[in-house]
Amino acid sequence: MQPVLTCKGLSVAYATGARPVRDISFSVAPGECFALVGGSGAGKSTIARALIGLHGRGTRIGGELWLGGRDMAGAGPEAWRGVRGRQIGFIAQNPWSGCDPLRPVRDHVAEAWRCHALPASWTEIAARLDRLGVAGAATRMAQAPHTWSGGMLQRASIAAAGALAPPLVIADEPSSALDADRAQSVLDVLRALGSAVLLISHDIGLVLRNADRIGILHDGRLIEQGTPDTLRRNPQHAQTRRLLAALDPMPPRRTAPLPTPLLRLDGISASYDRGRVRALEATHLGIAAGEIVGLQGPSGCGKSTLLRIAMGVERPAGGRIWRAAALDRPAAVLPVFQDPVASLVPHWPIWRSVAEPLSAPHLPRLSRGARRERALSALATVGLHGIDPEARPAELSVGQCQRAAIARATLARPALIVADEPTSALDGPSSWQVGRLLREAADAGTAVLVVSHDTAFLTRLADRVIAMAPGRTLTPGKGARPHRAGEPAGGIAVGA
Amino acid sequence: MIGTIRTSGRGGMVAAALARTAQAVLTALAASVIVWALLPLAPGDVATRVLLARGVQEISAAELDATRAELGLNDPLPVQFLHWIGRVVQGDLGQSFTSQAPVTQEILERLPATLILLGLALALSILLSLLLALIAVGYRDGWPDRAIRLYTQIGAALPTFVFALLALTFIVVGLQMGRVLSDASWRAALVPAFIIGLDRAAGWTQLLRAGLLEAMSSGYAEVARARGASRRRILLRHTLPNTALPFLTAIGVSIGALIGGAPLIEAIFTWPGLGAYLLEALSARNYPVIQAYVLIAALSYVTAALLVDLIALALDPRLREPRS
Amino acid sequence: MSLFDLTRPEAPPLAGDRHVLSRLWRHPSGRAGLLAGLALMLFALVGAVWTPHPPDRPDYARALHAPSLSHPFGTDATGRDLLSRAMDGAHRSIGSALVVLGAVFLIGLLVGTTAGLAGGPTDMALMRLTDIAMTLPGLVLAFAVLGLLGPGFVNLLIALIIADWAWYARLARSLSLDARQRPHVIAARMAGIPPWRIVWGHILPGVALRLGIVASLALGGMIGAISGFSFLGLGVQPPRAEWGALLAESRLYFSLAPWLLVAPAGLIFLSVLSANLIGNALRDLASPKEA
Repeated sequence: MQPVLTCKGLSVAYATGARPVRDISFSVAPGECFALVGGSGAGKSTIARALIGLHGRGTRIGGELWLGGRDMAGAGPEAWRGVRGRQIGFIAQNPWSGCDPLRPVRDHVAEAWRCHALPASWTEIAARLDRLGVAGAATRMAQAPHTWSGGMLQRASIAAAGALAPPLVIADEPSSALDADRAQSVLDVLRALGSAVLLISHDIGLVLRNADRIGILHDGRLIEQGTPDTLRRNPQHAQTRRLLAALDPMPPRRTAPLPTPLLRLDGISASYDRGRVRALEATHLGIAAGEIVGLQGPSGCGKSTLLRIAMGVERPAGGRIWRAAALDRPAAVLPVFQDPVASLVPHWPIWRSVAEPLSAPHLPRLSRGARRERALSALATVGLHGIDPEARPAELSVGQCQRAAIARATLARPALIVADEPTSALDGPSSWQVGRLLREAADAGTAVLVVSHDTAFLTRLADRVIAMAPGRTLTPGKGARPHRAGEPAGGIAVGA
Repeated sequence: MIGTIRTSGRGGMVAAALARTAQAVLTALAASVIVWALLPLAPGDVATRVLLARGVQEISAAELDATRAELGLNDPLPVQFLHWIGRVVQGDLGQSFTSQAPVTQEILERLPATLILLGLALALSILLSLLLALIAVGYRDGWPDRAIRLYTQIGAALPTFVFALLALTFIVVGLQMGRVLSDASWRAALVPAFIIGLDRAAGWTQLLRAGLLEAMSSGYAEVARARGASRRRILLRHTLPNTALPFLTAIGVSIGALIGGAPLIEAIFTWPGLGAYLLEALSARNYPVIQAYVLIAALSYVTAALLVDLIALALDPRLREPRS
Repeated sequence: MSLFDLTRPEAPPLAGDRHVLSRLWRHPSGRAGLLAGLALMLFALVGAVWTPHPPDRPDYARALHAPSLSHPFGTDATGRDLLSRAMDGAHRSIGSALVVLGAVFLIGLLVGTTAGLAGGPTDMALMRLTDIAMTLPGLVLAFAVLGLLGPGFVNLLIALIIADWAWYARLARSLSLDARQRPHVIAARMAGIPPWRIVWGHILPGVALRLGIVASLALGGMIGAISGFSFLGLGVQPPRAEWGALLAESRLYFSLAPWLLVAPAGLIFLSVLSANLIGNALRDLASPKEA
């Protein structure tokens, strides 16, 4: 059969002369799912945009780009307009920003027909949304996009992308804005569309599970292609092996946890929004020194609330808390956050952020030079000996910032480290390193409590994983809203 | 100003609109307290000033006491405020210290002139900035865009009164394009309004152009393009309505600046409006007139901000329904 | 360790908040603004201590002379040298705008961070105060205060500060509320760092930087406002020179001596332009970090 898309020696050159994509050749057969995977800066998004003619002004495409029997490299805007939607569908990364916020969801879907001057029927759209698993589509679709959940809205985007039954759909990180469990169901829906799928992703695990064939991108080049099986068994390129290393098992624990727990929460319940929304109900959690415990569950299940109770910054509405004496000394609990860059002081050199716990008043006073020395050695233990210690967080990569944040957390030897989604901003290899560092901290005798929506990461890292069910809304409506993961609810008052 | 109101359900729109209106009424009330406080805060004795204004040269203590009683100045301050606001609601803004005429009457004589000038200037600047921003975006980086960007840079760096002064003296008078005649008619307002509008439009064009360009590279614009929508369709259906919201807010805010700038503008064009009236009052320490001007300015500002927010509420579903 | 060596920085090696001045200098419009601003500062500083001719002494024999070598901007109706008057007025136009903005910046920073960090009744009280101050449009409030205090240069500055401080306090409050929720602040708190050191080291620098950028963006408008009030005779009083006041004087003679308008208008334009250029450059430099 004729491929739906063929690229031969495709390259993309910016007006500045930079060439983010060079000499890429691949083809996508009808109905198959071909994935392009690579780290940040590999050129994934540039390719996705070039394949649908969305490369910016002044950007030139070289080589051949065959779509529907026509070479589109160098095609004009009008030629591209005819191809888009009909020959090729597109699904953006973030479903909310992909929808005009002022218009109801049904307009977003209908646009697929209307912008080609075709009539769109509400009943047809409702039926299609219904088939893709949107419950109550006929009424829901008249509502604004921001009231929809990410998974449901991404289904609407899939319906729009497949409206004119294009032979190929390009999906640029279609599930990275979603929880792991919702991500998989969105990919299943996407495959059920019947079109060939070009999946762009940074997540090697997700790609191995979903794609028929995979291309590995590195530095703007396609360095390797193959089926998930061959790539996993026999990776040819060092970069492929590095990507796959993110799936390696975490280092095993070296020390046995102490039998006595450090912290025990029994039958904890909590609510917010003045008691209208129940965040937690009769939840149990125990953790011992040297142990890594994972908390896993979908958005809104109360993970973050439980974490804040464990940190001692929020009081539960009911239940019992038992804390070991080790937790009562100052700085016994230190955090690692979801946003690594924001967790370091933006206007301080990196060493000063790392050394900050040493300057707490309960510790013996150290000179500035001594604190800097300690910070530098802590940075070296997390593999950051090469960086400029005077650099500001914005000058470092996200992964480097997270390692610096872990260096800070371990420097003061806390009894407990609480990590809230520590890897959600990181790519696979960086996540793996963060997991390794957390394990090292645990081996040194610290208890580690990790919250994550990434089930695969947690099960490989943690000694125990506590799965949490979604929290319940007691009185729906009236301003109540389920808690969103990663959102700083409540917060900690500095002056308090 | 907007974005704090969160209600849900089908009545969300109405409830949010009512809440916003109630907030506006409270703001107007707070503003009226400040306005009223101007008189007790003013230096000098009010009764003496009133008597002087009435032409009484030799003021006796008895006359002072009688006037104080007449003006209710012996009442506690809250009672004085209530009396004052009661009179204001009935349209009584007091008596001018200088002319002895009711302030309300003098205001009503001058209000149309100001409304004509400012209204026309506002309408012209909105139209002009819309037109220029669309041209600039349509011909992005081409010569029309460059020319428009130069205009916005210059316009933003020239205070309205400096631009008006230069335009009036060098272009209108210098080239004898029109007579500087201020009979407060629509015809006479045209040239001054155009000059003010041309200056005010510079900032808005800049804002609109940047907003449109940002919206053109937003996620929804990209998705619409990927579906096959034309550039024109995206511009008119998606990016323009989305950019209109911050634009509206900017217009609401700048209505305050326009009202506040009226004295300056009217001084330059020798326009017989409220602003000129305020300037007379300022030099004569004619407090009832100053008070009336500030009250009218505050109420117009509150009303304009309310209108802008209500329009935004009608346009943007995010302001009336919660996230789920 | 070998794993770590493979990672490359994903973010471009931009200097974070270091070397703001040198980055401003490398920004094209920032450099133009800095150069123009420095030239104007020099003009104002020199003018405050020395002018080629006495700025305030009339010399009726030289009334309304056109620009010449000895009077580059010409002379006014009473024969005063306009260049000297423009130089003398420069520190009143630019300096007073800096004074007003410095004052509202400091008041705003103090009130806003106090409200944001103290919370509770203090916050409530301070914020209601700003609510009241913000019910009137800024210029209208300034007119009202001038009405109470009477015209005059110092009174004008007081009026502008009263008209503007609340807005900065609001902004500083929301910035400090945002800052105290930042992960690095929570981390410092959990590490046992005392609150005053967190405020001093973590929160205030960031809030002050952002507030300062906003204040610098407002410099152009403030210069315009001060010269506008002086144009109306409500600010600097004759015979003292100020650019807006010079415009008002020159205006009366524009048919005889149109050049008298050019210098003051040009100087106002140039100073607002340079303030705008610096402000835009600062915004450019700051915004990628905000995202």
